Amino acid sequence: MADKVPGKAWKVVFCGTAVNLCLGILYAWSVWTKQLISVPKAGQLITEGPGLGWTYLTNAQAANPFSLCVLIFALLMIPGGRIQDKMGPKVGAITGGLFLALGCIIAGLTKSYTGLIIGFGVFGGIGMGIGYAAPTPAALSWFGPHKRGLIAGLVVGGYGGAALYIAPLATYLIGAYGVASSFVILGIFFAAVVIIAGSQLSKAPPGYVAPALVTKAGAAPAKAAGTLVDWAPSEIFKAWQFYALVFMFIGTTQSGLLVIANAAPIGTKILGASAWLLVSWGGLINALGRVGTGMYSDKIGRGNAYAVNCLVSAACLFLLPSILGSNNILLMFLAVGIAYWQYGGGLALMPAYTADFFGPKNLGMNYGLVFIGWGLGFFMTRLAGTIKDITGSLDWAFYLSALVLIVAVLVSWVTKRPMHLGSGEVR
Amino acid sequence: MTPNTAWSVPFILGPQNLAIDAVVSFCVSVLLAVLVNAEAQAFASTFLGDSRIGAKDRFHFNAFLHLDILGSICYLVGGFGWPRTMEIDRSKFAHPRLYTVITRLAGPVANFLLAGIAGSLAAVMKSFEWDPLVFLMVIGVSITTAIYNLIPLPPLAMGFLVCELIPPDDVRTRSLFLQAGPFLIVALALLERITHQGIISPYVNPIIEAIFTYFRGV
Repeated sequence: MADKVPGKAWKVVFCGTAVNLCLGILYAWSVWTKQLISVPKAGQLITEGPGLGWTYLTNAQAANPFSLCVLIFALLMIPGGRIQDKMGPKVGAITGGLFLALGCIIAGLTKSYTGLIIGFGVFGGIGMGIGYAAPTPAALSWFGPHKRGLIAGLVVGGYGGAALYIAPLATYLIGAYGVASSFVILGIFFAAVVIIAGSQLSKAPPGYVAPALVTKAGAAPAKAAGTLVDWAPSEIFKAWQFYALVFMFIGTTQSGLLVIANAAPIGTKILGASAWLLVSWGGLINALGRVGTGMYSDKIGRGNAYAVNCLVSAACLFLLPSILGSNNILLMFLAVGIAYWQYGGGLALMPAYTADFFGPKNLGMNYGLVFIGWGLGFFMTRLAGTIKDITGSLDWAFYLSALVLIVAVLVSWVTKRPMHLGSGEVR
Repeated sequence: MTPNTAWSVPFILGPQNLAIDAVVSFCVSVLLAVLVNAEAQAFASTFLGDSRIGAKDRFHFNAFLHLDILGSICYLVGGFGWPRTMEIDRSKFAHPRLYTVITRLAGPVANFLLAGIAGSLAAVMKSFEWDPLVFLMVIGVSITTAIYNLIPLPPLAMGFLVCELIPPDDVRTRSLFLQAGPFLIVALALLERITHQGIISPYVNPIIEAIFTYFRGV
């Protein structure tokens, strides 16, 4: 067995990151809406500035294409994983990317609210749903369990990091060429990138054995160890570990979103005109958290990496009432940073966990099922609202969230890789 | 209806609300509601013993494959509907009657879960001062789908409960009830729509509105 992955493997990783860097346009949506929102003038034609030829939008109209994009993304993510598993990553990534590119071009050319709904909302959502599921499983198939955290982090980090370049690039394009042209130019750019990068994506060939971690004689075995059996999606429901992974996903999502949804708006109000600093900081840490967590999960093990992230985050949640009360900007940045790191880290850890537990072959679909935990994690923000209504503050919501995190860590400690009984697998 | 006005709950498509955002939001919400309803039934059935590796009608998570013709027509006519009826092998259940009812009830329960997730997403959006109108549509359609399952006609959940109360040896009545159920529901919805007389809605709509108000978190 070779001790190094072939060059093709790294090419797949970076091309996968490039595809995700296009799909992550969702995070930069507010750059366009800023140019188009004017509640008092809603419905009137814009006669000057970058939005020339468009009509002013209300806040609801500005949010609707984004919301539809998120929902259609969620609706198609699991079928997208199936497309990846059945037809390969090239088909998934290029189809998804081209839908997104076409959506951007439609939005730009129509210069209308309808164009935004159809182009960005519907086509963009379809593109993201199909495309997002393609790069990660392909990249992971080339690497052994000791590298999966880093690889998943690098690929999904592209999606999180997209806002870092799309927002300034779109701002420049809007200023130089106008809102409509910025959509069209980005659409053409995305099409070119996904065709080039997507065509380089491929799963490891049948019979390929990913190199294992080389350890010195007598040294401890690798921390990250995965199954050699590829579980079918319908089989994973029978393993209690599937439910444990869903609960662990709920843990990372609920706490991250609770802070992001409550501390970040408070911080942006305090910062006023400099609020973009906190938003950009969050975007940067979100992307770094995915790569960083993935990297150290390979070294110290998924469970330990999960525990480090969650326990630090739990400590931060216990202190959050004091931090928010102090109005200290530095501490606010630290708290938001920890939340984004932990949230992003969860998004890198869970695909690696899923691959370790259930194998890389059906990862697109299996991870889609584990991703249900991400959706369920949103409950905490709603529950927090109810707690605030009852108690008058969010303090108990933060404490409850920290407790959920601690329970999730305990669950992660007792959750070991399931054995596939049908194949007679042994640990 | 202008987009900055909240869409009605239950949302019923009509000439007065054919704006592109309303129609697209409604269609996406219906697909989500149908998907979670059907897959939740599949999950409950598998969990309770009817495990089928490789079955074509479950765990594909493709909303379009779960659409039922009459169920979809009912969404267009009355704002509620149902997915394609999933096959269940009752012989695999330890308690066939009870587990069949639980399996069918899993659908509306999952719709409440979806409404909860959408409500939570709406809360996150509101915290960033974004208008979560589309997510409110998802809440509305999900709750409407769940509550209309109280109608005691199959393929709605309560209809299957009634079906289980028919003596097992009366196969003919049971079969007739299962076949006629969907047509009767569509007929009732159409009758309401055409005559503008409340038949079912006066009883279920107040429940839907009350639950919607809770989930949207006013």
